[in-house]
Amino acid sequence: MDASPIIETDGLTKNFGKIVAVDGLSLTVQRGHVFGLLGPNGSGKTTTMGMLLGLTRPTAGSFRLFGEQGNNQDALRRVGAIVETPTFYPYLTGRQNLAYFQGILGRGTAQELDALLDQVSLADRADDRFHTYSLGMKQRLGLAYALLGDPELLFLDEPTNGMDPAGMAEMRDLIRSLGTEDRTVFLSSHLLHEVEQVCDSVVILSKGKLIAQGSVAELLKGRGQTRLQTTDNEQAVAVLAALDWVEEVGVVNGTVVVTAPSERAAELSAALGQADIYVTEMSSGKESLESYFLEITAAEEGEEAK
Amino acid sequence: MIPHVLRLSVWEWQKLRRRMLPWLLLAIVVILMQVAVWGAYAVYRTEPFSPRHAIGLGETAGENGSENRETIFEAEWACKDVRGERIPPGIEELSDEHRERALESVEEFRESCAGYEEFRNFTSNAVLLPNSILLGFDLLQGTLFILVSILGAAALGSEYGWGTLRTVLTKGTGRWQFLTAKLFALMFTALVGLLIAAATVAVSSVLIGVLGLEAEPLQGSAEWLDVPIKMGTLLYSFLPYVMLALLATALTSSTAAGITAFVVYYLIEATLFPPLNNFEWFQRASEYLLSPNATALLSSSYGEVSVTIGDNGDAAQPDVLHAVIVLAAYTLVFGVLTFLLFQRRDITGAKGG
Repeated sequence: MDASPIIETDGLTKNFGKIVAVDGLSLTVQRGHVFGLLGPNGSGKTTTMGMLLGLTRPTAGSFRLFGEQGNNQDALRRVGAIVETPTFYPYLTGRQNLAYFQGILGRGTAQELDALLDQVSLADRADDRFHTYSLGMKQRLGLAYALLGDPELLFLDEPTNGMDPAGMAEMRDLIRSLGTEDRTVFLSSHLLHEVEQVCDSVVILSKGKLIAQGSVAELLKGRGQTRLQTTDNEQAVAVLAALDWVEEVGVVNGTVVVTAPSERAAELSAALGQADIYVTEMSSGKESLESYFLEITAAEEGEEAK
Repeated sequence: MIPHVLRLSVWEWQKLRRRMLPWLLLAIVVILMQVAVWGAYAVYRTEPFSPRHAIGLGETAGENGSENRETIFEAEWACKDVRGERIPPGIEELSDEHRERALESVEEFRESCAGYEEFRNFTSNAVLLPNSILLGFDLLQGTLFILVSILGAAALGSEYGWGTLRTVLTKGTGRWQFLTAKLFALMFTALVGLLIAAATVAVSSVLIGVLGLEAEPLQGSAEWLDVPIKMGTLLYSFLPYVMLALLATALTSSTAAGITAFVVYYLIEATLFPPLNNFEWFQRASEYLLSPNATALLSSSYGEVSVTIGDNGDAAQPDVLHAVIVLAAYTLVFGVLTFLLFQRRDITGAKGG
């Protein structure tokens, strides 16, 4: 397998008038991964995808797809994409829409089209017109469209939008299975639980800037919450707050909650012991990507406000 | 690259023919062309525009200083009566003097019928093949420009409205290739539309022949070769209008705005500029407008049954070569602007409508 990155961006920037939608984004996506692009609404996720797909012209910076500079049609023919809500010709059926895109792509057979419709569970409604589809069905057709021509790179922007819980679970499994050695998935979502379940690595954007990048495990490494019951909770909070490696400490529902590297939990107990405070109960939990995301984006917005 | 554009064109045509709009526009063209051919036939048969002549002879009789006028002969005469060499009924009963006066009046009317007979010959020839096809295209010239532009604006504008432009372009289709394919598909659709319209007119002409049309082709009337030439010149004349519609649509990213911009331009050319032709300083400028050149090119394509549509004031009609060059220049300018705009602008999601 080619070891070179499938996507590389260097200082990618997009301004809409005075608004900076994407601000000097530099990232690298390796092949065969499910890569998550996270960020609150308006953080520049769709604009970034738009630039990589040749829909939006960058104001500054550059990017490479499959090692090719900028928007190269040959490179794009190796890509499948859903950007925001999938849009198709309303007067054509789902099958006719796919046949049209298969036709302009110039490869694929009717059997492959049937197989794709089966894969996204849309075979029953394939001969109904697109304008009669629910949002979830549109997403399924969008995924079938993205998979036309067996692309090496998939851009999926909020692919579970409008789906029911069963459909979301099905789509998650499908995305997971798509990110194989031969195919890379570039997934944008604000459903962090979904991203945590399917992505190997993520980038977090806030106001167009990259604020964190790495594998989910790396980002959450050492970050955990420890819950303590002590003989003197108020005093315990004062002692723990004085430790410089403790990020946050407080009392929630009669329990001392400490945000600190999980591997240093034993040191918490020792510090309290030295202050004659005894721990009667202790539990540690891994932080979720969601809480990490909320914390890091809130911090970024706080910095911006200053 | 060329096979890709051709493949795209075929699929654009497949897409376009499944829409209701082209069929609706075709129905309008077919109906209007049928109205033209059957209208010409109705005018030929019923002669509603025939001049009429009233023959009245009277005598004045005076008694006790008062005068009374007494009518001794009255008849209404139409050109068909003159043509049929009919004699007004009751004329035999008149005195020689009165009969002579009545026949003189008929002879005077015969002269004024000569112009009408030319018009009647035109209507009878207009329903003969292939004149009927050419007449239909001539009469509908302005309408065809508008309809083909609506189709062009809708073909591109819908892609913006539905947001499908994004779906197409993310599958490795280049923007200029897509626009070129769209243009090819539009022109092919226009050609198919012209062929269908011509075929329906041909059927009507045959039917009219069966119904009985006493007409002989006029000397210098159109020949069958004139039909493809007319279609070719029509398609060539469509190009700048279609490009203008595409430019307006690419500029506004909307079908409605694209059509509106086109219609406004078309109406300004059709209504605002002709009166200006009465000024000498404007006449040279009008030779470089779109409509006079399109009209000049289309009216040049065949002989006697040609009718010139539109009032171009006092301006002389541009010659054919001039018209060909001016239309090519408009197509090129509108085309380059459209392609540049389409190539450079960001593509966003569905805009609706």
